[in-house]
Amino acid sequence: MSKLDEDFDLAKSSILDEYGDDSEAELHGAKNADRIIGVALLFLCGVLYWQTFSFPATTWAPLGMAFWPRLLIGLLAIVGAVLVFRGHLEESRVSNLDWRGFAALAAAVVYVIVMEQVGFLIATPVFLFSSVVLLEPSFAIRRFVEAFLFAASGTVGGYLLFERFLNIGLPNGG
Amino acid sequence: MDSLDFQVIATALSGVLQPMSLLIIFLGVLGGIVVGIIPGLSTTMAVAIVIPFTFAMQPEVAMSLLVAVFVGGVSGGLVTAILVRMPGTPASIATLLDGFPMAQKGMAGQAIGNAIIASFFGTIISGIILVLMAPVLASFAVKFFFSEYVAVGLFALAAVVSISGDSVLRGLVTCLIGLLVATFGVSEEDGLPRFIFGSTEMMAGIGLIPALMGVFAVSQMMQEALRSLNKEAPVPAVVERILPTLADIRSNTVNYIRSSLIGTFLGVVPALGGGPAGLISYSQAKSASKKPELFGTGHVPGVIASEAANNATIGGALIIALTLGIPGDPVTAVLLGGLMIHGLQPGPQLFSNNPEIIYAIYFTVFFGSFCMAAILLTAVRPLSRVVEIPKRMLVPGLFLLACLGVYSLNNRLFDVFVMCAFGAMGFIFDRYRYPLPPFILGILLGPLIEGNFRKLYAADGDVWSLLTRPISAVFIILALLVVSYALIHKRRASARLR
Repeated sequence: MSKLDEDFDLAKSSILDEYGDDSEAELHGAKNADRIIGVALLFLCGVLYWQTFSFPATTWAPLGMAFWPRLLIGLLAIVGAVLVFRGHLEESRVSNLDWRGFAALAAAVVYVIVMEQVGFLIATPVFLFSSVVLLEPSFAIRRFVEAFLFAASGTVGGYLLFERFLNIGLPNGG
Repeated sequence: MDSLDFQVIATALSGVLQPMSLLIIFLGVLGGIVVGIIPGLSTTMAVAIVIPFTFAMQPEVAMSLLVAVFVGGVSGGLVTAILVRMPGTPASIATLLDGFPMAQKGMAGQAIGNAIIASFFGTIISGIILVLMAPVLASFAVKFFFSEYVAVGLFALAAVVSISGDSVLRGLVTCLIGLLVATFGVSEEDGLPRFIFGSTEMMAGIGLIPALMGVFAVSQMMQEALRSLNKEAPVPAVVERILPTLADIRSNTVNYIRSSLIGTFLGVVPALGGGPAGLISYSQAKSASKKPELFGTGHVPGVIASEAANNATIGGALIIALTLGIPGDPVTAVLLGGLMIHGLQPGPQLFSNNPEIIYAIYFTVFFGSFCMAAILLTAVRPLSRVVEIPKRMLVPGLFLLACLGVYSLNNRLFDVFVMCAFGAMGFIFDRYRYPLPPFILGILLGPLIEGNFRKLYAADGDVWSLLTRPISAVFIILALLVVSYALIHKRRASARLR
């Protein structure tokens, strides 16, 4: 298998080079990640297992509803424990959790929440406009014009596509 | 299976052979190619985003569209792999090994031309194998009873956990989480809710489509939102004359056929998709060649080996997805989700009750390849410009599409929130190298395995038939073999890394 691994590594590394610094290997940066994940998993297993006690009883089936989830929870708990004890697993390229990814997602979630309140036609242009401006900030007038046009066309396009063409109601707000 | 009854085929195909449907397929391939070209946007994401839009369509047209996007997506990656050394989709990883050196030597057009023909060839051959083998496998699957489904499901999970990523343990984590997520909501078997945390909206469970879109589309968008802060769009190299000559094709016949067969076969294996297929085929071509030292310097057979194989995974993945309901790769996993959204279940009953779906899919594989070749051969130059679309517009635009699509499923914003939550989860998994394919298979196969296991126990009082019935015993043993092989191999590989 060594020749294939060579080619594989060659291909993988050539891609990682191009994609730049945010996906570079940090062998030591996330040393405790697996351990933390293990702990989180154990906590999750605890919560879910506790929940299984509130399942309605199904006495007519030999294997109740709780059987399968409990089996899975048990296995996951074992794996979680292994993660906690062994800590960082096989050395492999791991990237840091970049907060900017979550910021983008948070903005998107805010958009969805706001859309529920004020409706699609108001929330969407604001979202699109601010995304363009914030994702690649620049003070050029051109950027603002571009953002405005994108916000307008995106909203109109979305509206036409869904309300008119596909006949699907969009949130109206209020 | 008397599937060669032309009357049946004609009726089945009548839905797809309308001008509107053909146009839809063409647009699907075009869309898939565009997504395939843009690095950072995967075919899985494209298919996931298109699914909600197929709701209004007839099932056979819907599936044709999804398969068309699949074909386009797998093929499109070759353009950027060759021109800018960045594969548009993971499937084209191996194409850049010889494709980019060719572009550097001024032979970009020739590289692209050969890659297109190889992609076409690969899809067609795997399509032929699909048409021949799927009915055979389906009639074999008719014999499947409870234990066989449990065994096959476990084997698929074992395979995907062993193959994905660099750690079996991490694969297990995501797989188990996927299986657990599938239990949320009202249990099919019992009609009673599990894990609803007191919320009425959770009664319907975690929707498959919002979860898939979150994990494959939204998490990717989060990654892309990061990258948009960095570089300018890379400039593609100049492209000149394109078509390979007939002589080129004839001298590489063995390569074409071998690579297509490798791709089809690997496509059948759960979770192995275009990328690994391309690399393995490349490696094989290199060892079979009389001049292995030329590989990597800009050698046409390298490009052919990679592209024929990665496209051939389409047919292979479809074989096992349609007959057994087990996805051959992440894209087919999403495709199966699309099938189920229309109320259809994969398996032998699909072949007997809904042949129009099957024939529509067959047709799309072939017609789609022609569309793909036609589009790429004529419009590579303008198409390669899509790489220059700035991410600051692309990412929010795609997110908008994804939101609207998910919302359109049930008119619930709850689904959109679910999608975002899974997006965050997928992002975290990906950053810490927890593989995603086992999660998808877990969420897809969980109900199948649990349901059949409980029915088996209810019918027999025990589960010994998992080992006493021959077919299921074989799959259980295969599952154990695959996992052991992976554990040993990965231990060795990680030891080498230190």
